[in-house]
Amino acid sequence: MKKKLLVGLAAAALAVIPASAAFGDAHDTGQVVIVHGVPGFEADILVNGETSDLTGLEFGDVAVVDLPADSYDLGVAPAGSTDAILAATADVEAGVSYTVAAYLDTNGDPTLGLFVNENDVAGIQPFHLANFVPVSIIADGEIVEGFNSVENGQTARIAISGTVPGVGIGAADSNEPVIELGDVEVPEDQLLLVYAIGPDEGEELPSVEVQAIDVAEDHTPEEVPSGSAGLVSTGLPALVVALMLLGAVAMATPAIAARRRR
Amino acid sequence: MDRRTSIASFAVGAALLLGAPATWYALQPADTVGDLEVLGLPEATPAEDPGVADTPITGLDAPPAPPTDDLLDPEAARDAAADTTDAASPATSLEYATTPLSGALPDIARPARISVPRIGVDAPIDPVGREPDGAMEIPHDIRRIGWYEPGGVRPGRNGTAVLSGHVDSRSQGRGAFYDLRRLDVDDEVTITHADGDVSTWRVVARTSYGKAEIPIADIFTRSGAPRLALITCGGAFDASTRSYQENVVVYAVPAGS
Repeated sequence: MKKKLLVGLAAAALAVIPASAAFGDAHDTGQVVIVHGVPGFEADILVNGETSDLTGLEFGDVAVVDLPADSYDLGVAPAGSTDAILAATADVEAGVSYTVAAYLDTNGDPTLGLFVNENDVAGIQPFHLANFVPVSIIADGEIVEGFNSVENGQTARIAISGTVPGVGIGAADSNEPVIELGDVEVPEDQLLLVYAIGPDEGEELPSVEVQAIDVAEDHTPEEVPSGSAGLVSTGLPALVVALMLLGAVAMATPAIAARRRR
Repeated sequence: MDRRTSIASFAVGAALLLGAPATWYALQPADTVGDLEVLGLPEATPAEDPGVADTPITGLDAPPAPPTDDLLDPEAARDAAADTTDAASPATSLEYATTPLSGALPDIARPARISVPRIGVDAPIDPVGREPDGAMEIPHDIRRIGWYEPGGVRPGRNGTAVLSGHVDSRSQGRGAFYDLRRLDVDDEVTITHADGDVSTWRVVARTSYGKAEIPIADIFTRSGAPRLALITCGGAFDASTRSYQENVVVYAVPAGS
């Protein structure tokens, strides 16, 4: 028996804390999207052992913070405590967006995972962070190529923009959605992070939370200049040119000598 | 000048004129070694920048199974399959590109030192970014190698970690990557990470791109299997701009793969 769960994407997007409008100075800050995906407890986020501004997070809460590029000891503690039950080190690089998720692994054990948000381009990036079987990602009645069996702890990005009809999550290798997300609108300058978490207590199916983040400014350089002396130039070096000149002179000498004698 | 001397002079001259450049060219390493196509990389003269297309647009391959009716009629089935391979024709085919599935970020520290025994390189690595003009920053000290930090691809994480060093400098002479153009397939590269871990890499290709043709977007990518790109300058030297006209790029993959 298949139970269908219709998740209004607009409603889901409203339920999360909005991404900070400006990404700050991308030259020295990174972005961290924090996901509370472990049902059953209210969580405080610890940064370097101390309680941060992010307290009292409920299952399904998503928060976006900009952090100066640095290495952080992140922890998840029950609300009001500074004793982390989950911990991980997050090296935040400038201009990079990360997901830090507390989620259930396939054994149902809570874990804290660090992922890269692939926001080079607009699109949808699903994350399977639920204690649930492998799934397929479906769009417009077909399995999205490469997303036929996404396992717990896996993610990848679909580069796409505009209206994506009939987005859903199905059983592995199935193009029949079990969780329907409906038509999804992907703005040209945003990446939608789609987190499947849980299931919540008393539920059979994972919950889905969506967080939009801005597409990062292009991080690639224009060129790679790495030499200024010409020592390895593949153009003919001076020595070779000199030898060739010498050769030309040697070839011409007999003729010139002959003319002189006349 | 007697006749014999004349002939000898002419012969030596001809030998020099033709032999000097021929010998010099013969001593130069080949422009490309290894198979770039296997890496999914363009050859030295790449096509246009594929932009976001990390993998081919869907519908170009792996057409879905034809409807059961068509199974009875092989020709109709072939036609149906042919239809779906044309990305433009079916109304139901979405255009998108995908990146490979990956898991949580492996715990890998920043690169701190690079060693390439075959060309005698053992150099410290500095994280670098972009110059104001948009070019990749290269450590001023030509004995040091720059690791491109924006994008955060550490050697061993998904995507291509880019390490660049000077081939030479007008004031300092030979740079750490002076002999990069002599690396060959299966040569070894080791990276010592900031936490002391060592990762070993195997050269799979070397090539040379014109500065205008270098596939920047393919090289500086955060997607795909872990890869190293070692870059320096090469090709003909333009003395007026004090710059080389090409980039020598060596690609390496984890030694176990």
